[in-house]
Amino acid sequence: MTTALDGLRARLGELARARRMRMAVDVPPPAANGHHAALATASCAAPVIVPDPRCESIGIEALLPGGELSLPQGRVWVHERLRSELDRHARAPGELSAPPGRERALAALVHDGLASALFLDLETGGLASSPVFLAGVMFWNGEEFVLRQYFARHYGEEAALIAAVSSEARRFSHLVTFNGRSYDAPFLRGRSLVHGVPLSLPERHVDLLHAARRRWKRVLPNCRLQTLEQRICRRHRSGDVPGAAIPELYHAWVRDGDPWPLAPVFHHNLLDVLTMGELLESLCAPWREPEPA
Amino acid sequence: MLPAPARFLDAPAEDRSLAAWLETFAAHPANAGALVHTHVLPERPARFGALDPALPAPLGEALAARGIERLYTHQAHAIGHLRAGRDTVVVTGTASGKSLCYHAPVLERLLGEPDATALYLFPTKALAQDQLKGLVRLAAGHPDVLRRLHAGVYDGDTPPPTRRTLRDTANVILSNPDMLHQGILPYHSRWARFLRDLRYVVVDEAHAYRGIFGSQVANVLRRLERIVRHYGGAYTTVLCSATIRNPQQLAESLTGRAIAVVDDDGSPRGEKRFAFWNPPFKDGTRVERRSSNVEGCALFSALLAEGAQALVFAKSRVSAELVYRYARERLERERPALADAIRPYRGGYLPEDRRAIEQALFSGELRGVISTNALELGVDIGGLDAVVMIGAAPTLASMWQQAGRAGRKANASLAILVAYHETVDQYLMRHPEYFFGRSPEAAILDPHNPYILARQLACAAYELPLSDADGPAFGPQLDDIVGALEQAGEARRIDGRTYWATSEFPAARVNLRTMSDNTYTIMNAAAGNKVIGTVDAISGLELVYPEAIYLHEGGTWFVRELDLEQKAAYVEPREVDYYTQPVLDTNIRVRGAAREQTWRGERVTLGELTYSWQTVAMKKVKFHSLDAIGYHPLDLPRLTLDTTGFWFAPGERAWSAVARAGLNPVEGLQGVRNLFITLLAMLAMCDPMDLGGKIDSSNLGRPALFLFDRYPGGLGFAEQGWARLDELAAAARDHLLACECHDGCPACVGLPTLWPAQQQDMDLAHAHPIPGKAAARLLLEHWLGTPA
Repeated sequence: MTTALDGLRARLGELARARRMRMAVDVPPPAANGHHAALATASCAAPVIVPDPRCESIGIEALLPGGELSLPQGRVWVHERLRSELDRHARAPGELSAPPGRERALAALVHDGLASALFLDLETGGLASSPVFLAGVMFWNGEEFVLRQYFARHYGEEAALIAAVSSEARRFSHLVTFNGRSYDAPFLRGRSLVHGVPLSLPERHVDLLHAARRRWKRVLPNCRLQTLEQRICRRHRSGDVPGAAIPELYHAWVRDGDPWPLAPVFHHNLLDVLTMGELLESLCAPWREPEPA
Repeated sequence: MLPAPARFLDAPAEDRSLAAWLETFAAHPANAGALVHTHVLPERPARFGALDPALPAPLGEALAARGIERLYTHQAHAIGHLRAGRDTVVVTGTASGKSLCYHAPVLERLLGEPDATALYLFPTKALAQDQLKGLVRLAAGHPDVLRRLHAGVYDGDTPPPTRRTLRDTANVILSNPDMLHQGILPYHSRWARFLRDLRYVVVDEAHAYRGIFGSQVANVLRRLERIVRHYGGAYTTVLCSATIRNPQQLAESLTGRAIAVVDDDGSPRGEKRFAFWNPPFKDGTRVERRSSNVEGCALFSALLAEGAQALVFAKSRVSAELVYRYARERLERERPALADAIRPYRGGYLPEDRRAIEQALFSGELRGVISTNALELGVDIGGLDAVVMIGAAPTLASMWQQAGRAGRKANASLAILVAYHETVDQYLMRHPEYFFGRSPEAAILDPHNPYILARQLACAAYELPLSDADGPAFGPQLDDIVGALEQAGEARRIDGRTYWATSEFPAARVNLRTMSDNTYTIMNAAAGNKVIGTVDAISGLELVYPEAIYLHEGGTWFVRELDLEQKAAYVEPREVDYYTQPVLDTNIRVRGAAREQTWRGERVTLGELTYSWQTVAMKKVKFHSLDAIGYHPLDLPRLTLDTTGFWFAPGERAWSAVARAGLNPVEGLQGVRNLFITLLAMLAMCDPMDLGGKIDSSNLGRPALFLFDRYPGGLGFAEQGWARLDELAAAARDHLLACECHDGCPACVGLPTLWPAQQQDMDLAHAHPIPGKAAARLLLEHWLGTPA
């Protein structure tokens, strides 16, 4: 990186030295009858040749089998699978029982049925005005959990990603997220405003983080998703990537087109969505002691 | 506490006026010869203009409730332009009612278009707070106007819940360019509502945006414009500026738009008397003059005793504190009732203390304030009867600003410049025409500087991908720089759009200002570490080093400890009869050569260098007598600036060309350095303060001229100078030859030292001679020959 930035400095230096000089303003006449220097202008910047940036990437299909979805906003890559393909022993919840305690949002979801809920988890290229590049969604089709990942292969596919999530979301009346009230939903809303893509998220929002805090904060050291996954869902991850490293992995992929470092990111996102499904079940199940650490 | 007294000139005593008072004061035998010049700016009546159509009735009534029945010509012109959607700069005097030029059209718009919004930008947080008060006061004149206004200050001090409320509901946001750059534009989607309906952008104190800071802000404004356009908004810009030589050019460079100028000041002005006061020599040897601080303090106290409300401008924080101390002691002796009616004012006081002083000055409760240039910008303190400037401000524009604080409506006023026994001040005393005959400095900035542009384009790409549509705003280098960013792995071009391609937050690595925003906290160790003030990190080492006497509100505080890690200074009150002054050492070190050329027989190198400075010792100075009573070495860290510069040591032939004429070549080289700085600032489109220069023998073994950028890493100014040395030298020579002065003046060969230390008491300075004009001329003509 240092060498690349040194290169940038050198290039800017060339531009600076080659700039046409001219007086910014007339030099003030030092005297009433004074005259000031007229400066000759010098040569212009030399033309620059920038090598063609690397173009189309290859190999994403191997990591994330799927197809291209074409929308008016552009194209986006979609990957789909069933939960049973991932975890053959997973017990399908089918019916949820009414949650203990006064969890009104949760109770409403249970009342409307599991099939009314869309689970959502985003991966982004950073904060503020960074793009969202991966949206993992999951829903109950009556028999199985269906998982879909919308992946923007480059920044130009973000608008289509948002449009795809939005049209998916229209079919559901409940959104289920983990910390999505303060993160995923506003982030997606912000990016949809930037792209001018209308976004309609389900009216009701179950943020599992808040429900989990109410339920387990006294018995767990914290209520981070991975803590809950270990202690409540009794599942351990291997080969995961820390969340903070994800943005740079995506940018590196767009810059140099090597898909392999992204593999754990797809996996990470998938697991996050799966865990949300299990957390929902646990929250609706009767109270039980969490697994010791 | 005194009841708010009538100001002197509201009810002038019979046959007394400030002019008469000055005459009497100057006629005292002890002051013989001190009043070297007076200059009278005649009275000017108010001129009014009319609007067609008139302002909406509720707004007109709100104005009337504030005592504004008619608009001055410049206000009417400005409002007319803005109503027609013309971007406008207003350039009129201090206290001419500039703020109304934007408040009125903004409020009119809010009344007519319920969703409309406006963004106000000020160079300081204090000004934003002050103007919020002014705006609300104005709107409060009518319930309909007040109901429409949802205004708030959005800056680094705004608490998060308030931020959210303002983003969601405010229609007037008052902020600063730094916040816009780091806290608003990168989060633009949260501002979509506000930006979509943005109708006015106000850039107040536009003259503050020059040099590097101005070049950065110009790009921030371009970033704002493209984001607003993205959301479908469109706005008119209104700028206000103090008097500078090139307001239209400044406004156009800042905004990238064609600008209409409103400078026909219709506000009334009473007669204004300008007096130049040179403290007399102490004795017949004519070597030492009386202390300028004491002299200024005598004038100030006498003005207060006369019933006038007065403001002193001191050149440094230390001087402001000293003058306050002296003035207070004097008033306690002579006019005890007034001793509590004065206060010092400067940066580094707590914001609430500053607000309290501003308000007390405005209300008339305070009769006098001794300030640094912190009161030079437009905080509304009302007009005063008299201003005493102890020492000339660094630019003519600043001097006019300071003097402009005197004068209220049509009342006569007085501004006095008290000279230090120092080069520029003494020159002004000998040549008052230098001040009255020249137009103030131009404010120069360069939005297209490639280094600045590269940083700003990174921020812009992060906010929204760049495309060809951005060419007009960012200029012809856009493609080149975007290409360089892409090669550096920071951006990626896809389908004609360039995206930011790393997880870094580019705005975080761009500081708009050259000053670091680190500050030291000053705490009272004797009272539970209560915070009494702050100081910026650079000045900290010159002000609150261990065992220093830190002056605060005139009191003496002993610095027990300076914690460099925690950025904290622990002080305790201690009664002493001295103050302390830092002794500074500056140094320049060549780090590496990048390019070399032979220019006119000299080897000139462009490369990296480190400029550093350090407080190496302190002097103890007794109050009043100014006797040095102690000198202690200090062990403090050296502050460094790694930057780019060029340098050369004139060869034997150049040297002897000067020496043969019996002149001093080092003086000649000092003159050349100063000329190069003035002219390179013009050529490279920066402010002279953005450049540094030093004559140093330690690197090359003989005196060499070093010129460098005062910005970490450099911004290409010295690089341009190196690449165009012939043009630079020719411009310097022609500038020198065209100057009418005889032996050299501040406008051509300049000063022996480039800039005095920030925290010095100038009372201890000496009047060094101005470097020889003839020696500088011989050097330049040796290189370039004599012009035909």
